[in-house]
Amino acid sequence: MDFSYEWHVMTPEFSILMTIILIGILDVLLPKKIDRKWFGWLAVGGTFLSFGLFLTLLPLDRTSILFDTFIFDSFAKGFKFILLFGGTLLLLLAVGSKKEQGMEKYEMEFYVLLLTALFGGMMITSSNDLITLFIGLELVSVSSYVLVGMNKWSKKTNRAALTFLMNGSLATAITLFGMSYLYGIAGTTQLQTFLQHFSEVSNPATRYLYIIGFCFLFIGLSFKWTTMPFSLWAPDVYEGAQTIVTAFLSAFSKIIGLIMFFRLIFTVFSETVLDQHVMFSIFQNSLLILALLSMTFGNMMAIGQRNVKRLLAYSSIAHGGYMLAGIASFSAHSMEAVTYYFLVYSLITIGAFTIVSYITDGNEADEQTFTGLFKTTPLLAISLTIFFISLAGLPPTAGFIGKWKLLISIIDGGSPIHYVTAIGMIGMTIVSYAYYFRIMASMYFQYPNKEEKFSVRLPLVILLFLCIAVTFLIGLLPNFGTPTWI
Amino acid sequence: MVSLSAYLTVALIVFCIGLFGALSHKNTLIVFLSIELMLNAVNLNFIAFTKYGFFPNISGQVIALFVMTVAALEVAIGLAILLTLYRNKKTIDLDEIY
Repeated sequence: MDFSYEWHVMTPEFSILMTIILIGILDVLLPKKIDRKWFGWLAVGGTFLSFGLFLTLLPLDRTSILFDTFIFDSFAKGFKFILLFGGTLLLLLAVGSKKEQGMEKYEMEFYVLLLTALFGGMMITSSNDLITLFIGLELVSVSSYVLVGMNKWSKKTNRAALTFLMNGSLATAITLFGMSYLYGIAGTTQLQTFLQHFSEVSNPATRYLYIIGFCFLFIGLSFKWTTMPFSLWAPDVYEGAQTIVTAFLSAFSKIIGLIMFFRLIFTVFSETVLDQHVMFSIFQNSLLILALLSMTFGNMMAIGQRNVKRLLAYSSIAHGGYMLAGIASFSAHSMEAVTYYFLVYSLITIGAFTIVSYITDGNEADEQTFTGLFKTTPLLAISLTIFFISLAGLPPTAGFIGKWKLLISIIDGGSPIHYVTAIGMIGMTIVSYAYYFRIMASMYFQYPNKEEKFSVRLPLVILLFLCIAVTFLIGLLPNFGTPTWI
Repeated sequence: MVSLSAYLTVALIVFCIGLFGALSHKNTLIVFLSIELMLNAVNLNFIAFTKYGFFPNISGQVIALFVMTVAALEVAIGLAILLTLYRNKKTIDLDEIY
């Protein structure tokens, strides 16, 4: 056994962890009267350091440390890039946006929790063991429970936090129950050894146990990425939380859940074990049907919403459906398509929520606040239009290419249910135009209720510029910088 | 010797009782208790598989320890959130918080 650990592959995680500890210690040691505003820049600095260290690691081949529980392979590289990029954008958003009433006191807690969630997500991308996967998932979940409930004076937030926590712990219990069956069959927590052990067990009854375990795991995890069985908490929680936290839940927490599912599905549930087995096709079909249901439900419900945060919550359920369909197609293209869509989706969601947080400034995100935005601040209106067009999946933007890639990967699956899902996805995309264009129309063609100029804040301008530039860059040149390291 | 299936059946029954309690009760504390019951069913499963599984080994017991820790963590956060809710609303009944 090789004991020479190559610890340097963990340096991106370590630098995030050091930033968390540093912020925690500084908050205790510094005198009360010193302003804590700059903690946000410290956190941004930490993620930049982590990003830099991550870039130096890219030429490495597959490396594993800690008895194969922590691996740094192409999968980890691709998704760590997305998580670090999204995490940096979220921190910029948190630095730039105005905090809700009374939240100024909690700078330290906010950044520490956000970084902890980032840390948990990065552990998930690299972990190759059920225990580390579970602990990473819990790091993300528990810090997001607290993030949602941070504004403890608002009844709405209290309610949102309680809903979120109860749904979340129920989902954790169900996930673990599924994991316990999988562990029982394989007798190992190591994902790579799973497959080997599965093929050694000859008892046909274990196949059914395997599927049951998988169903529990799926139902529990679907809480994280808000698709059909466990999606109804999303609108209430998204509305009750602060806008930054909503952006975090919608862009970040969701993608982490999907990454975990992706890792499991491609290592443990790969087709080789279940290929000819009839249960496999049942399982695949049910995933596609659930994806189709989430698309339909999310888009249909979003049409009637007047609160923009609720609207984006339903739209995020629909996007969860698209991504799930891409994963469940199990075709040759699905890895590339889903990775691309994750990147695009996190970018445009963070961008859209940036503008929502800019305009509402901690108030209710009613649609009325957006009327006549083009007349008061054209720049914000145009940026929001770009993000909405990208969410709706129209040509010049990255959202179009992302959806196109997903469609190709679904059609490539080749069975009738795949075609039905693809047609459903196209139909639901057209339905989604109804609500995106309604808001756009009221921004451009109506007169504002009150003349109000929005002040420019530097971090938000950087953030918006980054989001828009990347959206157009990878929308017009989809293969630009196609990572050779993936 | 008690067979594996007996342990699994007990765990499944405990899990279902927990799930039923979590979905049907109106009192938030009872809901938390029910979720604990579900997590204990998970522990029972892991430990039974550690001894009687197809490939008996120790890592199931390690997971059981982690599950207990995480259960305590979730309840701690849950009670904190419940306390803030109680300060504002003076109730912990799930029907009345809306």
